[in-house]
Amino acid sequence: MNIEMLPEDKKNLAIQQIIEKGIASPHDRLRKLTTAFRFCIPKYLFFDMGDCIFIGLLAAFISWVVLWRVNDNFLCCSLLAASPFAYMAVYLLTTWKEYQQQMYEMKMVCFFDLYKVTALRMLYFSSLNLVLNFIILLSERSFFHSDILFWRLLGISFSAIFLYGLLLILFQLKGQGRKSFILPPLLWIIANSIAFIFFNEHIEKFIMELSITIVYTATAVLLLLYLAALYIYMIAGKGGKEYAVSK
Amino acid sequence: MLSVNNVTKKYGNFMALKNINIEFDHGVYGLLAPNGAGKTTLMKMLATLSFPTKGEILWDGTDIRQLDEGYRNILGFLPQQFGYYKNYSPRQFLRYMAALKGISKRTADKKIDMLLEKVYLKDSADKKMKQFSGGMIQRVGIAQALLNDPKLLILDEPTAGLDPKERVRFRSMLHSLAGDRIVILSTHIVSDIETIADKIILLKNHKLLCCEAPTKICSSLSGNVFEIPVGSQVQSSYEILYERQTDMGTVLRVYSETYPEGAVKVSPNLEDVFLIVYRDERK
Repeated sequence: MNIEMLPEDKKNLAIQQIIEKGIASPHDRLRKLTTAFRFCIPKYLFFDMGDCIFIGLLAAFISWVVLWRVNDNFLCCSLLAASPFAYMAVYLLTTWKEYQQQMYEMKMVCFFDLYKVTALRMLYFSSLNLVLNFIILLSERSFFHSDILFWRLLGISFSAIFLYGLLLILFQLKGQGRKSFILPPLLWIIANSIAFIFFNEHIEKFIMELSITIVYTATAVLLLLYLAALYIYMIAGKGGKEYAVSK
Repeated sequence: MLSVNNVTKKYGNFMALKNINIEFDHGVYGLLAPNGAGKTTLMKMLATLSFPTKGEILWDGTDIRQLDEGYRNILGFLPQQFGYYKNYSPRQFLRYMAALKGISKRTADKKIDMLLEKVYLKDSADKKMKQFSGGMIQRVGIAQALLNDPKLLILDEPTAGLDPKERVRFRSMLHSLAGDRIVILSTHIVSDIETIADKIILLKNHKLLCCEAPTKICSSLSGNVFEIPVGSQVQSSYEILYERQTDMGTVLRVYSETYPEGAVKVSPNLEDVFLIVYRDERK
């Protein structure tokens, strides 16, 4: 059988095209991520949302302080419940505003669609929450009996934020429409209320007796899971799934 | 080239579109059908806002779902309804949209100036959009769709709510936009596209009826469209399309298989085709 082979130049061109289009570059996804950060700076990420962020942070700060003051017998329980309030409030308000703006379709066909924008916003909101909680705990340090308590509470606070963030992303990935952003805060508040009312002493004792190493291992694991979930949310194909702010 | 291959879209038990096959190449395509025919459903699928239940949509041979942001990078979309930022100017808004489209600030600023001039908003570039009319907001929408110099421009009912002057302005703007792009615009207003579309796509009963040049579509009714003076005997076999005023008085435009008495044969236009094709839906 006489098979006619391609000339050398055409063969090389074909190989080149296969390499460029057929094999995914390992640096592609990292480049996409860095490009997203470069273009979606906070000024554009939170376009027309300054009021929501301000109100959300203020509401969260006040709720946090009130809960903290009212429940100084059960610091860990209060902290666990209240830690992600800033993230919760800001995310709810900005999503509500996004819905009011009715720009969903226009934004979903952009290079950085609403999924990417939302993932970046989540990253900023969680970071903001971490900083806020750190500042609050630092300012309250004089009330703690020891430095270990301060670090323990900080670890619990950070873990709660990452856990809530994980819950939110899972609902966004699996759920549809407005339920996907209303249910996570509802579930968080209900679950923590039940835990606080019926199991506060047990939870307080359990957390206080955990070693610092275990607390920060849990924090690290939750952080990694949160970042992985964020990455999946940002990169995963959506297949026409309904978005939280779509009608 | 954009290819729609055997595309079907169902919402539960409701069949929105069935077995649509269209190939788009450079030029202006007018998607003409009455409300509820599936125009917006098709536009949304082409814009990746929803996906077919069956079938595929390909851009240069690759599924648009696989292309992901690569496809959105060459796409410009103007939705049927959209909100706007009342307290911002078109320039601020377009800078924001440019960032979302991955356009650098320097490039964006040059493009924004050029686009605002193109859509006749240069003098209002820095005024707050809450002062704008509906037509001006629509033009801002068109400008944002053109920011990334798209190869595929999809406009969903772009003239809805515009006054006649704005619609004429839009038509002349569309002429300059076509070039080597694919422009797909949907409308139920025949006059918006009859002079500018290279091909007309008609949907009926959720299926593709035809995708042809306007002249070819109109020629299918050639010899069967007449005008008769009001008051003449109208037989039940005539399909009355509409009445219009002439210098000689009011005349009825009718569709008939036979030559009506006292009638004048006229050249069929796209409006006639629309009224005949969708006459069942008018009842």
